[in-house]
Amino acid sequence: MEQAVTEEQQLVDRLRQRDTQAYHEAVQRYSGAMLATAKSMLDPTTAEDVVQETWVAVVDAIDGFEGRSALKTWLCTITANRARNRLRKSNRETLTDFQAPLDPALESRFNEGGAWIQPTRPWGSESADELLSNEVLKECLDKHFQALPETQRSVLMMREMQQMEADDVCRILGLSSANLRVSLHRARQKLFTMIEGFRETGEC
Amino acid sequence: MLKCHDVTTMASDWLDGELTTTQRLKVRLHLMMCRHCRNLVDGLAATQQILAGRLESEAPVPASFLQRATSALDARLSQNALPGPTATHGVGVAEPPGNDPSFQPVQHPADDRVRVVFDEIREKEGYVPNLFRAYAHNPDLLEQAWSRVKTLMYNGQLSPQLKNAIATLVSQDNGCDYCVAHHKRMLRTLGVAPRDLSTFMATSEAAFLEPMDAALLQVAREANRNPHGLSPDLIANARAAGASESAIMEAIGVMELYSSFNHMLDSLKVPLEPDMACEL
Repeated sequence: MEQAVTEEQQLVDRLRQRDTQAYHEAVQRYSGAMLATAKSMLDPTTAEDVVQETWVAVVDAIDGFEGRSALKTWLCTITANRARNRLRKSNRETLTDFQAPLDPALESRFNEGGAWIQPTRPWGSESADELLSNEVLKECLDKHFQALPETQRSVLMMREMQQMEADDVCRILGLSSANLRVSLHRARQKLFTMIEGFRETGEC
Repeated sequence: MLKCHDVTTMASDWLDGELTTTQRLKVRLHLMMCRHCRNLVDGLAATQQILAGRLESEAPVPASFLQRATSALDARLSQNALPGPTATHGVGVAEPPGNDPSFQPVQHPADDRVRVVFDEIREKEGYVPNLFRAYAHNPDLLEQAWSRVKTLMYNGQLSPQLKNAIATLVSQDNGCDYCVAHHKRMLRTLGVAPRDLSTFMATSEAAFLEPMDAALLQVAREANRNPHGLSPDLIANARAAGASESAIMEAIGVMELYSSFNHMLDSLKVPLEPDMACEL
């Protein structure tokens, strides 16, 4: 671990010296994470454009890298910050999503007194790995992830996948921290009910 | 006593350790007694694991992308390598970056009203930026634009750092190089450290602002990017940090001003002053 930190620090130092070879190495190593981040917000072609622009911007921005997060996370933060501006005419659905903490599919399973009408079944002994060996489930999961509302999808990607700071995610997506928590919870509920349904019916 | 619906609402916060001690105790007590809610929480935790195992934190990198990104970087880095003491910041670049001019600014005003305004601008700013020279084709609009700048940028209650941060970020979000160059320079003149400024331009984190100013910056930015979707929480946060209704209105006013300048400058492609090109 310590060795990894030192190696990253060396790379950062070389990036600061505007060493061309260092940039080539960094592009090889980090573009995958940056593309995944951009693609959670944009179509693939625009995502590639944004990541390319981000790399050029990094030449100036690298002096501001303080090492509080990993270099990869920081690069994803810059990528997401730029990607968000390609979404300017963004959808108007997001506001209503913040107000209700429960996904409608789950909400309908409670009575007015707040008790379960249709409770969830015991999860059972199947591990995540076992479930993921099912190709149909994998495809189904990808499909549902893509179908999540834009904010929920971006929040999952930035927080869970890229481990970005909550403050950064809020700033980039224009959310309060309460909005961020609700978005994350709503996204997980959606995928949870999808997996639950799949386990019962074997269908997506 | 929490209801099952409450526990379901709090389930992610429970799993992520985001609850207060009191809330945590209440949830724990409920879970001990309620197997339905235990099933839900277990299911959500398993969902998280499955997601972590399935969703890729890295996308495949096409060879064509690598090639394009590398050559874009090489082009950018070779600008830095140009000889000369000032070459590090793009001064030696053959093509001046910025707007490709199509609307010529007024250089020698014949109109008396325009001359009066230009004199005032010169007194405040040392020179007359092309922004005002473009408006000078229409003296009424020039007077109005300058008057708005005086009200919002030379008067008012918000700090100059905040107002210039709003101008910079809104202009960056709108893609207006002209305004970004001008207000980045202003922030530097106001004493924002180069490192903080680099961070700000890249991640929009404004470490140089007080909490209230940072909250107002977020409101103004979202008001420009997504007015219909602006979360009421952001306005509540600004109030909680000490912003008055008047301060919130002023932050929105600065956003409006620059958003309108951005649109005018970019649609008419008003040229950036040559000595500002180094800011891009």
